[in-house]
Amino acid sequence: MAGVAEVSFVNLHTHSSYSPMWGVPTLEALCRTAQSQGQDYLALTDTNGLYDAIRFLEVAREHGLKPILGAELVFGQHRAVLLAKDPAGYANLCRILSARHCDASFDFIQTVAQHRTGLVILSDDPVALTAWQAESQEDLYVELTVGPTLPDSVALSRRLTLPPAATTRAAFLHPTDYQAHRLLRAIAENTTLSRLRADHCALPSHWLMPEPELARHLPHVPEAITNTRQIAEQCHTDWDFKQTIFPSFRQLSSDAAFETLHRKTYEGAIWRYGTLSPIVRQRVEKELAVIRVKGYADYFLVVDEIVRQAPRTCGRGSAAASIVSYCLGITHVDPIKHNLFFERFLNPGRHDPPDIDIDFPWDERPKILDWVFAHYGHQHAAMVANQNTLASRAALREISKVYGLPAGEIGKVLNFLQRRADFVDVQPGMTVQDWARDVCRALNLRNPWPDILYWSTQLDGHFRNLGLHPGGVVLVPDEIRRYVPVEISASNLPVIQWEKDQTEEAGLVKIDLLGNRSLAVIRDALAAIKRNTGRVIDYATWDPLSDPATNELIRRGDTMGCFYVESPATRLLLKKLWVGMPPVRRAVADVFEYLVAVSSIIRPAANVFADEFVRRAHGQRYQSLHPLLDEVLAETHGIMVYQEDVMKVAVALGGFSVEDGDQLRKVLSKKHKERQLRDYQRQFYQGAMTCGVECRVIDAIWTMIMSFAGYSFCKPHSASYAQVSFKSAYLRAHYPAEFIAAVVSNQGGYYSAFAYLSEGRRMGLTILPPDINASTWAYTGSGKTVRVGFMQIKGFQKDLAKQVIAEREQHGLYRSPSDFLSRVKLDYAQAMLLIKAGCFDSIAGELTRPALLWRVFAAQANKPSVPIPIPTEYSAQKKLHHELSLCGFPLQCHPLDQFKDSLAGTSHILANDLTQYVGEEVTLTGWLLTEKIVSTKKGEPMEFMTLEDQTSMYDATVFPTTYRRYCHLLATNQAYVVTGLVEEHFSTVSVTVKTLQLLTTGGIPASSEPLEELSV
Amino acid sequence: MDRQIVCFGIPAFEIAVARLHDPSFSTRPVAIAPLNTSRACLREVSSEAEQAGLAIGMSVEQARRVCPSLHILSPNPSRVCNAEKSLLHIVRRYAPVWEPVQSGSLVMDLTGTGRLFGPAYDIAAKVQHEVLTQYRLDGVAGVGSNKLVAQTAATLIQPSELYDVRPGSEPMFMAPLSVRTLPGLQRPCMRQILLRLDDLNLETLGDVAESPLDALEVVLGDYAGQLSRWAQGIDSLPVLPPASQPQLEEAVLLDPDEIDDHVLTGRLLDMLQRLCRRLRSQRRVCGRLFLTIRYSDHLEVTKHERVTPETCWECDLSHVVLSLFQKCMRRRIRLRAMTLSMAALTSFTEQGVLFDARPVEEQRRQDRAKKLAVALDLLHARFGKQIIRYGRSS
Repeated sequence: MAGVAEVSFVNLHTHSSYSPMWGVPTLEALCRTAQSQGQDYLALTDTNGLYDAIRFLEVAREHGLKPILGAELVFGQHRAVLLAKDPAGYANLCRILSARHCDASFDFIQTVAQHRTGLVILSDDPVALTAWQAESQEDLYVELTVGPTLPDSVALSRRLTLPPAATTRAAFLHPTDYQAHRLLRAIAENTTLSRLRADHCALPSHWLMPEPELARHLPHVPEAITNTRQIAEQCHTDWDFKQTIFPSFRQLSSDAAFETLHRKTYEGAIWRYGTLSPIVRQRVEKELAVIRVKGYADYFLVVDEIVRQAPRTCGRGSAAASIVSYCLGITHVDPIKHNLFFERFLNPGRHDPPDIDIDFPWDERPKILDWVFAHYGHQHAAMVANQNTLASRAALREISKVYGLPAGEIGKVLNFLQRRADFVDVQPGMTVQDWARDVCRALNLRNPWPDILYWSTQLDGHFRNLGLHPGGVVLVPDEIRRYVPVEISASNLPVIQWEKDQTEEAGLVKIDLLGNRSLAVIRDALAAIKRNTGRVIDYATWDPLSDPATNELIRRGDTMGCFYVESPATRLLLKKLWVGMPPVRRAVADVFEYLVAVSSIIRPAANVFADEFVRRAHGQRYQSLHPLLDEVLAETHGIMVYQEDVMKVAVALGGFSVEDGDQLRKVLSKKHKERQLRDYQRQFYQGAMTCGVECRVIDAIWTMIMSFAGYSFCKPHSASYAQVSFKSAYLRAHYPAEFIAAVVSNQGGYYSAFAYLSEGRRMGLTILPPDINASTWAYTGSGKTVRVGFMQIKGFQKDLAKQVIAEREQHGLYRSPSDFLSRVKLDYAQAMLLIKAGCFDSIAGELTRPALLWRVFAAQANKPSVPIPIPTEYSAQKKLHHELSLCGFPLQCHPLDQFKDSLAGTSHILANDLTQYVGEEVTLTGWLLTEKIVSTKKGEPMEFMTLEDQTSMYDATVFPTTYRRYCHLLATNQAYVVTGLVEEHFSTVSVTVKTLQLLTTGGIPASSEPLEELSV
Repeated sequence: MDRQIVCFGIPAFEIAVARLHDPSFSTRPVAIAPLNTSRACLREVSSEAEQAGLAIGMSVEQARRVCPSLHILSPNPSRVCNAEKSLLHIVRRYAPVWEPVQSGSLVMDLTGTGRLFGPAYDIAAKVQHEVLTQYRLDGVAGVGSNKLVAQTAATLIQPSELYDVRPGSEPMFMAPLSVRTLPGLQRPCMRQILLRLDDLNLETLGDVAESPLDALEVVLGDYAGQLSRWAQGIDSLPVLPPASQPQLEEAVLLDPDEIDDHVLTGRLLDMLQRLCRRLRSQRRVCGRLFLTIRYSDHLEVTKHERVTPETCWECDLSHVVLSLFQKCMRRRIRLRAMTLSMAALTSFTEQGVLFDARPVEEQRRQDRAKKLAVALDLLHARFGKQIIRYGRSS
């Protein structure tokens, strides 16, 4: 490696993978290579953005590089590299980039000229340079880059007497990476490699050339190289984004804001508690003290103001641990009653801003966002971005298109690769090319798939475009464009260039305003109850926690459709917990508290702890891992269930401060924080050993801590959601028709509409087909019936449905099809959907569905009327076919009924009777509702499935060996014959699958032959 | 005079011919598919293979999975051609006019031959018998008063059987049949008609025949009349003898499929060169060029362009070919095959233009290109096609 002192060249123009579809290297690779070339400075100049500026600061420093922030501004034929010399220059850079993306009348030369204070400008654009030079030639350089335009740039520098600065314009690290760059360009341009225009790509010479190579091309302008160091030394590199930027509440001073918060909190406390006990008063004062010191009063007031815009919200996340949030009505869980740990939300040592997440009914959220932008103004507010990258599947798909493969083949192979690529082991010393070749050989994929697979691994994770975070909003007191570049989203909202992590690290306070379907379900169900029964349930005062039927429903695990606790894993765990619990314990156990625990313990790496939790909840004696943990984990039987347990254990056993414990909790969920995690692990082991804890015990506790990696939940969050779960469960227990109708209408649950309707049938409801005189757009439930809404008819327009309903409500029911046609104007295609869905059956009289269609056509033909015959009615089979194509599932029968003939010779049991066959091998039929592919400890794929037959749902497990043989047959909404062993665990039964057969209707039977074993 | 039409055909003709040459295939599931490419589709299947779940158009790979005992044979065009000639040898004895329908199947117009050979069904039986005894090929024969009825009847029976639809009984014969049995209704352009019939639940030809024509016209437009006539077994189309249009054609099968424009245009220009060579050897010129490309997903696109003045020189035609390629190749999908055809072929006239308006440089360039083409023709004729090639394609 060259010594730092020997290098005079500084790379001032480089692109990382965050130059959209242009730069190839990842930040890590770019910094590593720059470091290996002996560089001490590095400027990152992504195209028209600072998309990964905050990450760059961290990575560059990790590699011993001084980071220079900049961007390459490209607009039409103009281009320039802008480098921030100081914070004012950074603010100007953000303003210029924002204008580039947001202003329709953006003028390249004028905008840069207007905001060039604090910026160094490098360009080879003669028009722009001449214009800028006329004002000042300070910090203005001519960019010299190896390539055919180099002589012109040298001549321009001499002509304008502007100093030259050499750059590599590195879009990739090595000349061999040029193909990756071309692939990115072909993806971006929607073209093929052979049609890709050369002027739409970088030059092959735009790689991260080391200084000697670059100098070889510039013997006649050596100052171009030395100037780069001078520029770098002028630029600010000690960037600090730690200062938190809070929103401002009505421009109040901080003292006035705190006084307002103090007053509102106490008013809220009286509303919540009536009289204030010393405990409440003490907690309020404690929290307010922290909020005052940290200066968070404005933040709480702003959130409070937003929440007041909607009658039904659910404040969630760690904020639910705050009594101030509770008193303000931001959250709805009493932190004292449920023993919620405030330090998880706020503590004096916490540097990052607090995070309050608010759920609104999904269909009310757009209005809330509109209010926020109208109230605070586009100058102060913007959405947080999602940085959409080429994930491995998207990379495969896009590269396949560049290689010209047809969509059908791409979809098939992607599915195949997703399920089976893991079957090929990665051998030591194997290159990525070798692996790609072996995978393709094993899966019998021909050329060019090995190339596609290889390149997909190289382009995996490349930034593609900005999307919108589901609900993150940033509010600043002054001007958002001085902190971060802003773009305009497809939905015409301003969006910053950073995703949530960089936003937070840059000190911007994010408020999450998220859409929640279950709040809409509850709202719709309550409205239906009022409509059907006259009973009004007040959402704010409604407390279903003490309702026996609701508690019993949750104990049974009958929670399909109930928010947060409806997944097969949660339902199974609820059954395991409650069915086998001894009556004495069951009588005193708090269903809400257990529901909070169960919904938190369902996380990827905690299966083993979940079973242990159930055993201990059933009364099995256990020995605590260490006496120091007895009190900390008493509530959860010695098992770490909540995120704050990590903090508490780290404090109690590892000697951590509360702040360090919180940081440990935080880095556990971040993959890119492995180094920090190792440091914390060392600290934990040292602290625990100091307390005299045995190494074996520390290992066991650390394993439990590591089960929180990936995603996990804090107790306030789960408690907030459990309240919504209880409300859902109450509705399901007492008003099943209204509840199921609302669940299906709001869509988006864990299961398909068909699965919810099947559950409705099992609950004793009758599902009625859509009817022109009875259906509304959404499903409607009343008594023991659920009426399918027009929304279920694929292709039927919502506006038209509204028109049909409005006409019916205004002028009465439709008396006949001709009455309908005379009152509502609709085209043949739309009428056909209604007729085939059977909407007119109740008023058609002697007319069959085909006869109706013929008449509609005749009515629209603009020809003299002729007598139209009445063809025979569609066969039952054809009606079923229409139901499947229009609704996606049969309305009048179970989908397995279609296979009666082919199943006639197959002896099988019913899912309802499964408990009678524990320990036996059985054959069942099943319609696959959900599947969850997971990996074993060895990394082998396996699957958990939920199926149902005409009698009941059942869970099945497909272990790796069986999965390997049948995975190619598996997909939801298909019928199977399942053979397997019935096993019982904690009084719940499931099937361990041995063989599978896919059933198809007509045509050629799908091959159920197990695929041959893969051998590489 | 009542027309007397016979449709005679050998089901799965290529397989039947192959079985003649190798009787060991006679009871096994057999299919015909090109074996020179791994992605081929079945183009003919035996009845045994059909029973095992195979169908025409299925990929060879899938077919082997569904029916492991399947025996796949390569097409043998010369053998099939000989067998067809043998069939014609018998047919010509009886039929003054005949029209080929597909390989191994033809329609004979026997109107007016009654006194000479007897009734049509006797002739059909004779042809059937003679083909069986002389060539051991077991055929089906449909007899009717028009092509539609005769052809439809032939599709409803097994080898050795004969279906005679007596004049006047056509409506009754057609009534129970599905509308999908009508010729041409499976074509993509007829999808809308089929959908509409399906919507109206008119599943059989009887349903269509019973529907009033003016009511049908409301939904099917101009096509209603023809459909209604067909549904009643009425078809006035004559039996047309085969006609040949002079055409030159070059096809290339790309294996593997290809998307690189440089490679594809290189292959096209090679094809053009070969076609031009044939044109010149036949002393003809072409007035129209057709290019058909087939994508990996089997979608075919054909474009054509008129060539004025007619020519036989690559230098005049290459830009036309490239323009056709640009018009055809609009999707980002690999190509599996390309076919370049020359039509409107006429004899080459020696008379050149008296006053050539082209710039001198252009004239010289074209003269040089023509001389080069002639020189290459000579080299190819003497030393073979591989002796010298343009370096434009891989």
